[in-house]
Amino acid sequence: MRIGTKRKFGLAHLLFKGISQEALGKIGIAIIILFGVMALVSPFVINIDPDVYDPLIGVDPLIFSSQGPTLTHPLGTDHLGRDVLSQLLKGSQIAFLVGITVGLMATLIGTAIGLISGYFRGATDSLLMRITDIILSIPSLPLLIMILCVFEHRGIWVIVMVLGLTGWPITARVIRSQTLSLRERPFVQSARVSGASDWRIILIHIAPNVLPLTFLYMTIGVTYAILTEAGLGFLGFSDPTISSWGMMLQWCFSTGHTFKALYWMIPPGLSISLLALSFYLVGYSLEREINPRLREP
Amino acid sequence: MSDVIVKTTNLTKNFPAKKGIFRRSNGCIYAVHDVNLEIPEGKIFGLVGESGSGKTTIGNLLVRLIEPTCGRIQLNGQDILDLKKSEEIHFRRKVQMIFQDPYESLNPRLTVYETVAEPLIIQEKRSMHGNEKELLYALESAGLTPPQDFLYRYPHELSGGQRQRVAIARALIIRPKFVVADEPVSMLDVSIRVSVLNLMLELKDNFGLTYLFITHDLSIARYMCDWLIVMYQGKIVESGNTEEVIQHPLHPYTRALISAVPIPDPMVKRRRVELSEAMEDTSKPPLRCRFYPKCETRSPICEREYPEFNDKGHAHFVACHGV
Repeated sequence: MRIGTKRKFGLAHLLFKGISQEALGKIGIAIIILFGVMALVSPFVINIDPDVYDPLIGVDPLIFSSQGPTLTHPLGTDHLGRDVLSQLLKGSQIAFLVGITVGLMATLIGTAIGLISGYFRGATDSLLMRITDIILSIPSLPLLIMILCVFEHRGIWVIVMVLGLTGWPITARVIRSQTLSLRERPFVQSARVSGASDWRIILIHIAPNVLPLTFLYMTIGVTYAILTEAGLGFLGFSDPTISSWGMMLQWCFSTGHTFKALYWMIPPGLSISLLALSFYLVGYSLEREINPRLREP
Repeated sequence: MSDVIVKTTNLTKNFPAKKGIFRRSNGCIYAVHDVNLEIPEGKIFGLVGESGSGKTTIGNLLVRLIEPTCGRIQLNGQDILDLKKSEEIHFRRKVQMIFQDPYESLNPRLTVYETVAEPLIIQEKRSMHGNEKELLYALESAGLTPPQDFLYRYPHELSGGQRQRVAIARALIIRPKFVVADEPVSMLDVSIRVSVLNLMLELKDNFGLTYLFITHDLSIARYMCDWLIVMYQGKIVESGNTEEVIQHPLHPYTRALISAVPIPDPMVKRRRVELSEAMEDTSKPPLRCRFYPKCETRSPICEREYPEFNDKGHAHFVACHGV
């Protein structure tokens, strides 16, 4: 039996309110949905005729060089006769895969390190924050390239792992500072007086109060992951067996088609910018609801 | 006199003062110095003093939110400072705290149910569900009626007075013996203060509690407390029966405090004791009387040594050379 009424004051409500209040947030969500649909459509396009439309091995037998848009290839083909639209749709899948996984990984690690560092302080804090400083102070792209060069076979999962394991420092710093302030709040002291253990205080009293901020940093983490993966792809350090947007730009560039085949260059470039922008917009509109300093008085 | 429930011996807390970009330790602040308390069971023990006098520090020390620099604290004759982990949970059961700001002392993301049930869950290793009986009783005792209306509300749906009642219900649900109330009504509207104070008096009798009541408001202290301790800059300057201290203040600081309480009658004129702005530096150990720079009746001996704490009859103690 439930006594009284239970009202919602949950994270979902907060996120929904934050996004729906700002026009920019709605635009961001719309773009994300658009790319989401593209990712879902990708297998159907390939299945029309895998010999022709597979983004990597499907080659149109009638085409021997890069060609502009036609009815059979709405965005044209690359230099081998592979369909650009099919590559773009597959790239959308990869972008979501990399973006969401890296975003989740980086925020999970960052939040855990921030909570532990801010709550326990002392030597634990010093150690964790110096590691954070080291990762923060090395320029990330050269670091990533160096780490990736260690791997013989650079599959997309290697890239996801490397990005996820190096993308957490900013989240850790922000969550740590929030934890430092929360741990001195009377409701935490009240829990301590009741005999709550350190882990209970962290998980029940502090973590739920940093969760909105965690979510905000996740949107930024997703943006970071999409842009960095594209950057690595363009430089030729991403997985060559997958047509990610960065790889598409790399193929376009390395075969000398950069400004000669705009139908090939613009779609992946624009997609990278738009998807990164859309997560950024979502984060931007969430921040007004989450960051108390931006809330209207 | 009844049994002593809490006893402190030479309780001292120094906060290290760190300065500069390298956070070098640079002396310390003597927040509480050499405090001896004996809190009798079943009484309300008042602790008054201005901001920074160490009242809250003593409260935090007694519930072990902070550890003292030196000195001993005993609860029912048992030393609480070197408890083992397994014993600490029993100590937490006997001692609870009510905080000053009910807007800050409840977790905004927990419902009233979750907040009030937490001590039960921790102390009795219960699960989250099935505690309705105890909860409804505690909420009702704390004056939240009908209690079932409050169970699933969040703090932001409650008024300040209701929040403080939830905090009180939380403190009482595990039937503590000793409750530290740190300015429990100072953040509440004047109109609801008395009802919360009366609730605390009622609960004291119903639950057999002992309070350490920390306040800066002498009229509230007079309304609530059986015994009064006046603190100034980390030292006890005067202690005794509440009426005795308020009617016959002996220490010049107590006299100044009492003269600052407004009288609600425009025709009555009372001589205000005006204190100088001069302040003793609390980063130095108290070698001379802490009140020396402000004192009207100071004499050369006050600068040389810290006054002894002397019984002036009727269990009224004061630390002043001039009395």
